[in-house]
Amino acid sequence: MTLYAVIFYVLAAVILVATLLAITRRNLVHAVVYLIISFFGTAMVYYLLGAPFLAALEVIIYAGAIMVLFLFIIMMLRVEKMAERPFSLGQLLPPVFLGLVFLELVGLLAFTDPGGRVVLEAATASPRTFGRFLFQRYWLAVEIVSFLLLIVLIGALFLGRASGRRRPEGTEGDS
Amino acid sequence: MPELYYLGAAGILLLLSMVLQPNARRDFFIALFVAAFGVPVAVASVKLSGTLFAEAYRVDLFSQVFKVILAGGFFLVVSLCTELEGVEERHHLEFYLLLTTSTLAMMLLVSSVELLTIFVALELSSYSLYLLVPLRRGYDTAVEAGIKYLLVGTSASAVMLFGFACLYGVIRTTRFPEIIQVLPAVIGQPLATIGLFLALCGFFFKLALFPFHFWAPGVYQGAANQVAAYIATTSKVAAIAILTRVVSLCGGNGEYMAKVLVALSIASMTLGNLAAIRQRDMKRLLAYSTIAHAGYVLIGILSLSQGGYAGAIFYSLAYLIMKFTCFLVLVKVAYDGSDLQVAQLAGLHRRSPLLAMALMVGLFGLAGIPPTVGFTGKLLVFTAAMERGHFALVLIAMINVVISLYYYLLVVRAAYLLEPDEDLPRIRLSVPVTLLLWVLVLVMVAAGIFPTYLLQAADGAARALVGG
Amino acid sequence: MIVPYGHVLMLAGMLFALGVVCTVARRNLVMILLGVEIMLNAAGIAFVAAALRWQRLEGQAFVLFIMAIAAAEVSVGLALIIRAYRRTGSVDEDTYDLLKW
Repeated sequence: MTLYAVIFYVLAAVILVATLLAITRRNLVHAVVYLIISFFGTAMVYYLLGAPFLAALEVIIYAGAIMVLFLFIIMMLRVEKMAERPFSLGQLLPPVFLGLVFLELVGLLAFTDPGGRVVLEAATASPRTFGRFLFQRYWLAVEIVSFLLLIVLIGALFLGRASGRRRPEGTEGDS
Repeated sequence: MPELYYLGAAGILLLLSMVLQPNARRDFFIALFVAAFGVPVAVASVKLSGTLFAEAYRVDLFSQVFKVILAGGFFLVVSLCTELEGVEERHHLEFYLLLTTSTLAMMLLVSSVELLTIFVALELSSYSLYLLVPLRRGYDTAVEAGIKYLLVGTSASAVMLFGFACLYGVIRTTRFPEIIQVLPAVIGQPLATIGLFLALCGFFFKLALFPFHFWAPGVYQGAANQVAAYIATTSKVAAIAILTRVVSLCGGNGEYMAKVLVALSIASMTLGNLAAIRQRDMKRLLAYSTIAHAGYVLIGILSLSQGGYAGAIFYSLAYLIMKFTCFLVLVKVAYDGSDLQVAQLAGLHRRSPLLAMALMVGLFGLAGIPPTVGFTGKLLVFTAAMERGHFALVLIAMINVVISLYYYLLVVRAAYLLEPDEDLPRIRLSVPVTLLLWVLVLVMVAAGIFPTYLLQAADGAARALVGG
Repeated sequence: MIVPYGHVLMLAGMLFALGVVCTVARRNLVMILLGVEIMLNAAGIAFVAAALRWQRLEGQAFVLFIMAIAAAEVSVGLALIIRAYRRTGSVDEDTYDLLKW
C-alpha cells in the first residue's frame, strides 16, 4: 500500500460520500455545495492520476464556473427552500435498483476483466505536453467545440432574453 | 467540400442575424438559396476520398453519400418554411442558422472516424436541436419539450461517454482504423462489450430507438412543425450513418451485440407501432412511427454484413423522403403552425387532392406496401437479416408491418373518407410546392420499382465502409 | 504504483450510478441537471484512469472536451429552466405534464 494508494482511497471515499449527500439533500444550495466538495476531490484524483492540467481545469471550470452558475440560478429563482416531498419508496426503488445492477456490472467488469488488474503507474502529463498533443491531434475537435460554444452562447442568450423582454408588455402566453 | 460550404453559410447567417432587421420572406429566400446551393456542392464532392486531421476524419463514399442525403434533407426542410408561422419573426435567422449548424455538425459526424470527434460533432448537432425546439411561438409545450429533450439527450450523452471511456480503457486508442484491428479480438472481454453497448446508447437516443425513445413524441409535438420535420428526417439519417459506422467496427464478429440489438429492434418496432395506434395528434403518431422505423433500420444494421449496411443506407434515404412527404402535408394543412390532429385531416381529398395523394403514398411507403420505395427498403433489410439467420426477427418485423398498416390506414381514411364538421377552404399550393409534391410522389413510386441507381449508391457506400 | 485500474473504474462506476439515481429519482429540474453533471464527471474519471493505464494522452483530451460540453449543457439547461420557471412558476418536474411521456 503505497502512499498514493492511501490517498486515492481516501479521496474516493470523500468523493462518494459527498456525492451521496449531494443527491439526497432537499435544500438545493446544500446539494450544490456538497457537489463542489465532490468535484474538488475529483480534481485531486486527476492530479494523482497524472493530469495536473485537468485538475486545475476541473476546479476552475467545473467546481468554479458551472457550480457557481447553478448557485446563481438557484438563488435567482429562489428555489433553494422549495419544499420537495421526500422520496416515496415506490419512486426511489427503480432507480436504486438500476443503480445497483449497474454497480454489480461494473464491479464484475473491473474485477474479472484481465485489464482490471493492471496497476496504474504514476506518471504525469505536463501542461505543455498536453497542449501540444491536443492541438496536433485533435485540432478538428477543438474547432468544432469552439463553434459549439459559440452557438450555445447565442442560443442561451436568445432563450434567456426573449422571455425577459416580453414580460413588461404583459404576458398572453406568448413568446 | 460541403462542410466548408455549410460552415461558411452558417457564418454568413450569423452575421446577417446580427445585422439585419427580421423580414420573413427575405429570410426564407436567403435560407432557401443557401440550402439549395448546398445540394450540388455535396453531390459534386461525392467522389472525394482521403483522411484528414491525423486520421480523425475520413472522407469516403459512405460519408459522401450520406452528406448528399443530409444536404437534400436540409434543403427539403427549409423549403417547408415558406410561412414559418410557428416561429417568431425576429427569430427566423437564428432558426435557419441553427438548422444550418445542425446540418454542418451531422456532416462532420458522418465523416468522423475517431471517438472524440464523433462525440463533439454529435453534441454540436444535438445542441443546435435543443435550441431549436423551444423556439416556437405561443406554445408552452415547446419549452417543456425543449427541457425534456435536453435532459434526456445529455443523459444519453453521458452514458455514451462512459461507454467510450470503457472502450478506451480496453482498446488503447480512439481512432477507428486502429480500433478495427484491435476490437474483434478483444470483443469477448466484458468491458469491451459493455463499453460498446453504452457507447451506442448515445446514437440510440438520436435515432429514437428503445430504450432512449421516450423523448420523441413529446418533442415532436412540442416543437414547431418544421423543426419536428427536421428532427424526424435529417437527424435520423445522421444517426443511422454513425450507428452503422460504429457497429461495423466489430467486423462481423459481434454475436453478443447482435443479440442485444435484435432485442432492442423488436422492442422498438413493437412499442412504436402499438403506441401509434392510439394517437390523435399527427406529430405524435409520426413520432411513434419513427420509433418503429428505427427498429426496422436496426434490422439491417445488426446483420453485420455489407448487404445489411447497404439496406440500412437505402432505407434511410427512403425513410427521409417518405417521412418528409408526410410532414410536408402536415405543414401545409396546418398552415398556422399548429399541432395537427388526425381528425383535422378530414376532407383532405376535396381540399387538395394532391396533398391527400402525397400523404397516402407517403404513408403506404412507410408501411412498406409495394411498389413504393418503402417496400424495397424493407425487402433489402429483411433479406439481409435472413441471410444471417434472424428468422424470428424478420417474422416479428412483418407482424409489425401489419400492425403499422392499421394506423397508417386510419390516417388515410381520415383524409379520404371522413367529412369535416364545417366546410373548410381549399388549400392553395404554390407552384414550387406542387412541383415538389409531384417529384416526391414520383420518386417514392419510381424508386420502388426501379431502385437500381439508388441501390448502386447504397452498395458502393457500404462497400466503402466495410472495405476501407 | 497507485491502484489497480479496476478500482478507479469502480469509483467512476459508483459515481456514475449515483448520478443516474439523481437524474432519474429527483423531481426537481435543477437536481436532474445536477445528476447529469455527476455522470459526466464520473465519465471523466474513467477517462483519466484509462489514459493512465495506457500511458497515453487521448483520455485526458477527452476530459477537457467533456468539461467544455458540460459547461455548454449547463448554460442551455439553466436558460431553459429559467424560461420555464418564468412561465409556470415552479421547477418541480410534475408541473410539466403537458406532454405525456
